[in-house]
Amino acid sequence: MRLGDPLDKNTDIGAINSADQLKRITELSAIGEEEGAERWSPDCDLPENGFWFRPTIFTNVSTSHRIARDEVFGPVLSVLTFRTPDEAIAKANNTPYGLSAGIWSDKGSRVLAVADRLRAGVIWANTFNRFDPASPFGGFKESGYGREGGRHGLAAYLRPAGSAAGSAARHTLAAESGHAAKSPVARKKAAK
Amino acid sequence: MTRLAVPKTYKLYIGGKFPRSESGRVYAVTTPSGDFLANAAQASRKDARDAVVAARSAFGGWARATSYNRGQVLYRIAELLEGRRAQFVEEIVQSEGLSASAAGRQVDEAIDRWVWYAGWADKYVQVAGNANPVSGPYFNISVPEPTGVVAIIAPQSGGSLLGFVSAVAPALVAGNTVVVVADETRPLSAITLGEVLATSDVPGGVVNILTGSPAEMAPWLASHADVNAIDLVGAGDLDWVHLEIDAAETLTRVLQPESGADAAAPSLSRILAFTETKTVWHTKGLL
Repeated sequence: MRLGDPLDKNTDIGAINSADQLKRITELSAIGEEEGAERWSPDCDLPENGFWFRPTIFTNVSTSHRIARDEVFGPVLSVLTFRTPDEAIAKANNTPYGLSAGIWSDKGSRVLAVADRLRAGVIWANTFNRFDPASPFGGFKESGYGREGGRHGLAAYLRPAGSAAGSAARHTLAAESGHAAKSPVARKKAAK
Repeated sequence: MTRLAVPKTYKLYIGGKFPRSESGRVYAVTTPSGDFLANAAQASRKDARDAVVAARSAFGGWARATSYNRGQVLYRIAELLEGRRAQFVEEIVQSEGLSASAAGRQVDEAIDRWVWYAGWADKYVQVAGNANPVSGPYFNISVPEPTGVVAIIAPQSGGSLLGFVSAVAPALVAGNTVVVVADETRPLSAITLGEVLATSDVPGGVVNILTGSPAEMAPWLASHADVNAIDLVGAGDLDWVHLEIDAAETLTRVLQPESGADAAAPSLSRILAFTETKTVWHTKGLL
């Protein structure tokens, strides 16, 4: 593993963005060890300037551990094991966050069934960390409001022609301008 | 010999059961002119939390039901509402002081609105979902998924049944489970709707109804970490800005209060307000 200048093509992992975040990663990793997870980091060189954290893998992690439930936002990977898809889904959803998830399987029907039940805004199947301006990005639960990218990302900047500036309009998709708020009764009246 | 009247004591509707408030409190529901109508349970913060627990445990099953099935279950409720029409009309006449024909029109509109939302159950996904054209060998699709447990402060003015239906039906369409605080002074049609739901195919815990003070319960629901969204449509008279601040603490989705005759008017956006877009990427083979 090469830690260094993020603009250098040969770099695997760049710096942590602030002293505060480095402190948080350091604290969470310490808690991970205290709670009984096994810590492993490669013996690699760290640059002298900047905020650096050695890439770290935790094994023997259980669902109650902070490093499993909180988002570390650093080069720290918590590894949990599972025996059945149900167990994997329960463990993946056992967090107040839900930004992204990944599934690896050579069975397409299983990929789709698991993707249905994961509570995350973006799910990568047999790939990871893919982004595209045409694909909405954003999370469930405490991972944020709204989506960026794709038709859903554009919707936040649009208001259907003729709609009032009501609070619900913020959630309105561009495509629904044809379905203006009309009760069935109002429709019946209009038909008469 | 004259018969003694049996005044009804309305209860809460939590997890498919009709419990009294754990606090033991009740309050008198009156006509607009102040005559006694019935006793209703005055729910406490503990009742509100129990309702959230019931809603959370019902979420998996209701969210995973097929869209078509949810539509059928919701449509069946409209049939049951129609069967209880006379009771709803009588309760609205008594508690809102309306004429029988005006009350009848409100019940009609509430049933029509319920049917309208039921019809959306197997359609909103096509309208709000999208196949995304990404630049690469990936199948990429976005679909709206239910947000989770939705707390609702039902409209506190206007038609009591219509307001309740207008707030609850859209949240159910996408597979959310709800905890509703009913109209405080005119809760009878809400609880009667609860009795309808209990005998319908809606699983217990999908709709939980609390009667009592919105001012007392709303702060606990807004700050509850297991509530995913809160509809403040009927919270206009409360300190709703602070409710919104409390809700933001755990990124709870918020719909702001609405007022006027068409508060919570039927719209697709009320359904989509309680959905989260899930985007799935899958690799495509290169041939």
